[in-house]
Amino acid sequence: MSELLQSERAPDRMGVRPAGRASKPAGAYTRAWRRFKRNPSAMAGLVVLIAIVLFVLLAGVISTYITGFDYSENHLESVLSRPGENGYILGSDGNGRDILTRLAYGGRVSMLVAVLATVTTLLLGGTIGLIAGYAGGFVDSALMRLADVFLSIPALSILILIAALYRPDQYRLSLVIAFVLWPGVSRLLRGEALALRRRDYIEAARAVGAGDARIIGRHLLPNVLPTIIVWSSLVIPAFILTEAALSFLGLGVRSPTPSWGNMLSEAQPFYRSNWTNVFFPGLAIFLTALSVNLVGNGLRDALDPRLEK
Amino acid sequence: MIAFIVRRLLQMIPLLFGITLITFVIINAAGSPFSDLQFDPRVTPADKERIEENLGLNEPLAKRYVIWVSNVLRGDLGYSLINFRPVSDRILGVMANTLILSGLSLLISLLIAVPLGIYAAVHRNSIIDRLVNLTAVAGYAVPTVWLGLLLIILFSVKFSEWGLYSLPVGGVQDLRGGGGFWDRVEHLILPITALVIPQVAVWLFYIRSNMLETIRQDYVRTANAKGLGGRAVLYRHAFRNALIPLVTLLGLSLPDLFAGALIVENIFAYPGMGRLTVSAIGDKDHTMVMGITLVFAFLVIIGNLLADILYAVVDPRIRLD
Repeated sequence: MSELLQSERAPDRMGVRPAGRASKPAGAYTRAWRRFKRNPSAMAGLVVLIAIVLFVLLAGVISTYITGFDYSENHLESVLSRPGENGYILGSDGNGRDILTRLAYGGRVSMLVAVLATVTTLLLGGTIGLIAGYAGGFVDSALMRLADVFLSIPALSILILIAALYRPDQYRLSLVIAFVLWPGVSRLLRGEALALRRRDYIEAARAVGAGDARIIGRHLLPNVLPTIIVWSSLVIPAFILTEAALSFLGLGVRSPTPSWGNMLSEAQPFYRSNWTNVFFPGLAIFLTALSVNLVGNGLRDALDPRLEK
Repeated sequence: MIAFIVRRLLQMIPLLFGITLITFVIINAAGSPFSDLQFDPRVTPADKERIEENLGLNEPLAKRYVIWVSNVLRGDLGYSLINFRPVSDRILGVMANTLILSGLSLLISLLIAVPLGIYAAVHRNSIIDRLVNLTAVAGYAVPTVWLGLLLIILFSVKFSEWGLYSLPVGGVQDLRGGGGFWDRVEHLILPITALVIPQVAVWLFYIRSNMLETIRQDYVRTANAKGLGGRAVLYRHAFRNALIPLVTLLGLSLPDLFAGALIVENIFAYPGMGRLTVSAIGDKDHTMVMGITLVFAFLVIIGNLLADILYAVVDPRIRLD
């Protein structure tokens, strides 16, 4: 997707262009940001996403000044209050804990899992993919057959298996997700590396004596960066949904630590009397996934220079 | 063609070995399925030892894997560690339910997404196209668990509170003497809806972008230039070519389809393979988990093979060799 981008950026990366960077035309990323700003749905997504991130980061402030509840504070005399009752703005759960406070803290956990899992998956799968595509031959086919094995297992069932047997916390959970879901980005980056490794500027770098590590790090990586950015923005919502699914089955982050997923699963038994307890955590997951998605689609369009007029 | 199928079937063998080996190692690395018995005052350490001895759990990992594989090759998936019923009986007993649920939802998703996606691509930037885009993005972001619970809350709980016609909350049939055709259908409506909405989103996205890509091709422009009517060009030339890549995606979408069914079955207490998976994993029922993994992997691989064959059937340019 980024053919033009690469040929524009290539001389820059190789240091062919002399100093005096101040006068150079706007870089590829500056122009991408200008295109992004003109895309209303992407900007709307960005605004909502920033609002959610602020809500989550300010969890402590919300707890102290707005709700007056701690996230693990049980009030057995006022369990399952409806929104507005007994001083709970969004109601209380089956232990009498404040839903709004838990939503703010829970968002931290859900987003942390999603972002950590994305970074870990990228480090594992991306490295494997780049090496496979760049090396080719036996290394490539061996690594890709391994990827085939993982792609044929329904990922969720193996995730459930590991989560049930080893009960990981939020940090290990992201390692587990990466262990199971690395082949997707591997395939993606392998394809890119395969296409790039015969490019003239890579050959040129090799001709002047650059080693494999330097070529991968300095020449391949910057050119697959747009792909990585777009992939991340599309996979973060998927991982937020994965965390929710695992927590729903009782295998994610465990109470009293809130996550949007385990709030949803704890609210399930009370859906007849307190449907809002199901509604709000799900809504938070939905809005987060939706806004990251809109931003991701905007990034994809903005980083694809073929669309530039 | 025959050579291709034979080679692909042979390639399945190492794949199935890899999948079962990974699962076997993961499940056994967590220790004995009976480790919880040490906290049970009614079970002496000697009893626990004897149970594990009888089930062969004290043998080395490699030996047990070889035994498991040789039994599978003879068509024996073993017995459940929990109730000692044959694993294959349990799986066969619920497999039809899962195949009905996921098959129907895939079919309905395609019936909705193909015409809508093509209409959206042909009428690019129209109101319908914008709505389709919005639906696709929203459907991709909606958590299945939430969607399922909201469907239950609205169509089962609230509808019956409001005195309207309401749908059952779960299961496959009414336990009080139900079981007729309409009863089965009623129990499938909500689970299928929960599966269809996210799937439609994904398919809409692919179909629309494929069709947009195809419309831009030279042969479509040529067909237009030589004066063929809009419809003839769209349906004779563009439509058929736009559908070709979808056949491959159909194969690749199977793991997601089963994953979705797994969640939905657990929300709606629908007795299928997904529910069996979760209960077997919870019970540390090693043989059951291995059996289910094997069956799922087999279905996914066969699905991919069928997709590849279908690919050659719909596109004569593809040569399988």
